Amino acid sequence: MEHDDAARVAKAAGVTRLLEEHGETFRSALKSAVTLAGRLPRDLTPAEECAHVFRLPSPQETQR
Amino acid sequence: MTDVAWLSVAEAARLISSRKLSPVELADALFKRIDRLDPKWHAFIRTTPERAKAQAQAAEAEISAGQYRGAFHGIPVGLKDIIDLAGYPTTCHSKIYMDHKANQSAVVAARLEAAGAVVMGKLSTHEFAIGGPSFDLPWPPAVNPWGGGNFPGGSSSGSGVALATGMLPAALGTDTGGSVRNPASMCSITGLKPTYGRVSRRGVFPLAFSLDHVGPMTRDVTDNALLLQVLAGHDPLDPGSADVAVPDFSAELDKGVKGLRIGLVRHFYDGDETAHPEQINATDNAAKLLRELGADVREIRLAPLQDYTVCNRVILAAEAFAIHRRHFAERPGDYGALARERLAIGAGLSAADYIDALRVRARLVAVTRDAMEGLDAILTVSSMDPPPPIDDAEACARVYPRQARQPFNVTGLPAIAIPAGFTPDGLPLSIQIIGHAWQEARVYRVARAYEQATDWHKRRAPGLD
Repeated sequence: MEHDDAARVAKAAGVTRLLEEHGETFRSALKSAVTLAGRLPRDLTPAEECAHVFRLPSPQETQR
Repeated sequence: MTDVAWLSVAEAARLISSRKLSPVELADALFKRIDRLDPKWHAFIRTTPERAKAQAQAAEAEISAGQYRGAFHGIPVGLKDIIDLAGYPTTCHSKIYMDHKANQSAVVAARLEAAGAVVMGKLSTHEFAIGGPSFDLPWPPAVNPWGGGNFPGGSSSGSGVALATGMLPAALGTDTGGSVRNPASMCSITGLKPTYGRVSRRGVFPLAFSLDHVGPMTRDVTDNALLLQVLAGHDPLDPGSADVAVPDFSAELDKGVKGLRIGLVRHFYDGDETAHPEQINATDNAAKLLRELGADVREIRLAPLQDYTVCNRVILAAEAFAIHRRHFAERPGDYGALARERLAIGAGLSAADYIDALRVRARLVAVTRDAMEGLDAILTVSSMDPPPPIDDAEACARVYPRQARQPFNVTGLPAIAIPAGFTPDGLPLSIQIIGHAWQEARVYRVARAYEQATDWHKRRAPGLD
């Protein structure tokens, strides 16, 4: 991970101090994140929703 | 009388209810043992003797007056130190939270106290249940008595060690990627991750909301069912809590496995990963034993282990980073190196990565449910390897990817880790038994049948009196 990329991610995440004080750890963690995310399956169809989705309580649940 | 240090909860309860054992004497005896042993094993962050003494005295008075509350009345217990106990700090084993005093007890702690349990103290954990074993925190990491200086697993390390050293008969842990079952496996004790939503998490410092579970840790299956009975129940103020009936978790304990259908997930430990040969043998032998006891054990396939692992890790890292972001922004240097390294991964994940992991999770839940159709339970490994020396950082780090516990955090299914033998060097081996959602009683039934046919759970680490 290039320094500029790490700085951009740190700024976006609001953890610039982490990058300043523990730069090596942060850059290594970002590499791990890229590797990890790259191992997620890429064949998800548009219809496949999240395991937990927004759902309003039913009237029965609201009354309880 | 048997040394009280090694009494099971059920045995102690029988003695207490018949007034042959005083809760005050039991607590005193265990505090003396803690004073003697804990400087070596570091299971406790702090003990709570004043509170415990008052609770033990109250239990004794109530029982003498004929007001026995049930199996945990007068029984000493410990809480992993991410679980709030009113009036005491919940340190999360971290400098960040070392002065963070809880005003209110977590629901699980309150339930234990309402059942008459005697809370003996707060137990070591990996920092914020993620970074350990660490030597750069305000407290040392707990050490496994098995092997004399080995890694006890984590993150509920102190809970596992307190049980394995006879300092406590029961404790609470939490499990987000295996943190009850890992120390259970490494310390040769019994740990259950209940169905997601079975036990309230309110008042427990979160690691990852959608994967977190509170779980009972004991030295045998019977005690585990008794402890879950106290903990389980709907909590309308915990968004993950399910409004489902709480059955009698001990109801099936002695029914045996004759006629039960059990799926053996062998590809997790001899295919997707290759476990230590002794661990492979122990699991295959467990399948053989369950067959001999009358179960129909057949090999089945779930999704590849790595699919569950990646899904768990992405969700965990993303949710955990969101929880820690403020402290990460303000005081990154106050985390230990391991927690900092593991939590920082979440900063590098995108929103789409997290959403995709949640979509994969739905797929894995469906695949697992289909594979388990027609089965009563499934059997597989918990850890791939026995516990390594605690000062071997690389070997300890390998414990986390080399395991088969995360699939059941992803799917939310109840899963128990129980002792299943020892290596020739005397290090613990274990198996994991998993059930359908809300069927903890069936999980206990299979685990108890195996336990009754073996004596692994009765063995103590060498050198402990």
